[in-house]
Amino acid sequence: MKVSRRSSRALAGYAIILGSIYLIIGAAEFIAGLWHLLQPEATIAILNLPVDLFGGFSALVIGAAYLGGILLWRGEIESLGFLLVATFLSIVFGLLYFLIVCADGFSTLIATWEGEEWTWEWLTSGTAGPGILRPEIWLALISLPLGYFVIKTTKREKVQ
Amino acid sequence: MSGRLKKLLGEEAEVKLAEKRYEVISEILPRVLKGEKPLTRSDLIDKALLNKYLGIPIFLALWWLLFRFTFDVSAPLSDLIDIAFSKLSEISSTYIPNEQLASFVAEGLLGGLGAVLVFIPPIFLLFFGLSILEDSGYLARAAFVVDRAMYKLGLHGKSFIPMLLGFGCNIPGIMATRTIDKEEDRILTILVNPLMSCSARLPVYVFIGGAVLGGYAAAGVYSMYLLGIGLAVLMALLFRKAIPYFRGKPSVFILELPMYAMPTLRSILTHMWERGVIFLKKAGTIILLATVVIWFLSAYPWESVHAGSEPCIEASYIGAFGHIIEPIFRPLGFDWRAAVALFFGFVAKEVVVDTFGVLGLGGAEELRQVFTPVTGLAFMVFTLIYIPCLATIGIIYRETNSWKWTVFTIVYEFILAYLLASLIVVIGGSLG
Repeated sequence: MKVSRRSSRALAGYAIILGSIYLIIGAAEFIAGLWHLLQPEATIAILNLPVDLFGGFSALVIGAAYLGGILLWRGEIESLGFLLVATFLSIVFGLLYFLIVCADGFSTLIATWEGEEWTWEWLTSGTAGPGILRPEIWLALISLPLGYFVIKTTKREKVQ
Repeated sequence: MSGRLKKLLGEEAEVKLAEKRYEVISEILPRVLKGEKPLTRSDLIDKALLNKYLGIPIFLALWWLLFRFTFDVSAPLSDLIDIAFSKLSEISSTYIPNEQLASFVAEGLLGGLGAVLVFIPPIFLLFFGLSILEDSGYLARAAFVVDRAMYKLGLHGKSFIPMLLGFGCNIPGIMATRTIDKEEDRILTILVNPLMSCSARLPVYVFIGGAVLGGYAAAGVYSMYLLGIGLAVLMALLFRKAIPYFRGKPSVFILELPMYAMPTLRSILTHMWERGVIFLKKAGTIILLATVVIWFLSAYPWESVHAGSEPCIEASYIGAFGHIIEPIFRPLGFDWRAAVALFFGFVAKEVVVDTFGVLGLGGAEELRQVFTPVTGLAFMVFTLIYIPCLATIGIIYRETNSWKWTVFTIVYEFILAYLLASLIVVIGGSLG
């Protein structure tokens, strides 16, 4: 299957935008996480993003994988592999943070059974940092159309 | 012979053979197939996953994902088991009239075994994640990307598969070294395999990390696994340089990568169960037996321990023994209870948690009285590295057929554990 020049440029453009967002968010989380590790007393949260060293590193990796698809702009179909991997990583990380938010909710429910008062705090602050507001969850949703198109494009066993 | 062949061929014989094989294949293919060489989805994915620059970062990111999944998603399930054991413990204390039997059931069986069984969810989730990675075909790629780095360091790439197996349990990991042809490479892989963090150590990390590392608990657990890989590579490199027996270049690693496949839920659950059930069996045998022994040692002499209104475990046999070995661990900031836990962890690493449970340190609050974040991290590192469990020692002896290498493994790991834990305490102390 061949991808038209217009489609490959659209895919590359979408990947560049997503990759750049991931890189910015990842860098902010990583730097804040590193700072927190060295100076635990003076925690900084850049742009209100989570302070997460390894989470930031993972976002940087996803960003780099998206940007690996940049050659698709020139019609190099092999770069679709980078988009496949990037969208996969984006979706599984989004799913992971969402599951963590759900686990926080379940923990709150268990605490309620044990006599504590029910709160909705777990939705916006918990183990995943800002809970459901964690950018990676929303970026995973934004990655879905790209993932769908890339999978559809590579669906046939042979890509030429 | 091997040297002469290499000189004659210009490279390793195995590489030459593989090259020739693929040359023949590529000669035959155009004759039987028409059209352009098709590019499959597997090929496309490999472009990214095996990329020179992105391969290892993707591997690290996926590993981080696995540990956050293991650690954070399982937390409420572990809480449920913990609550159930606490309630059972309360009930048995209330309804069993015999004081000694009540203590055995509530503090020994339910306190000790319960402290270990709360780790069923993270262990099963870890195996769930590992099964997905394995069944999808990714683990073979992980071995491939890591091999590239390892071979540059002078290590055998085939070592990485036994090392990956070591994440589940060091025993199959060590047995898997049988696939390595060269004896020196095989022994070297066996020596460093116990540094790979097996699932038995996970309860210790989750238990201590969760109590003292706060928001960095998951990062702490993840770091232990990375440290294990890093140390295994470094030690193998050191042994190759320092021990004449291991000198020379490692033999070449040729790995055929399987196609990617969508893992089925049935196969993932089957793999998870097959591996996880080993933990359950261990809990019902070795850990149960260790619990009984530790409880007995911590509850007797009964009159001395129960002289006051609250039991004083320090006056027990285990207290006396703990105080004897405490000076060895004191420089690391570990008290007699931590020393005793490490001692019994020699039987099986889960027994470390079991011991804390029997000693009444099953909760985070109690643990924070024993460890600071720095000494807690040092304890986690010590647990990762020090003496492998009894069963692993047995398998090291069987596979190397040498007491020399078996004792060497025990000694070097203990020294390494001590050195690294000291380093953490010193650096952590200086940073405040």
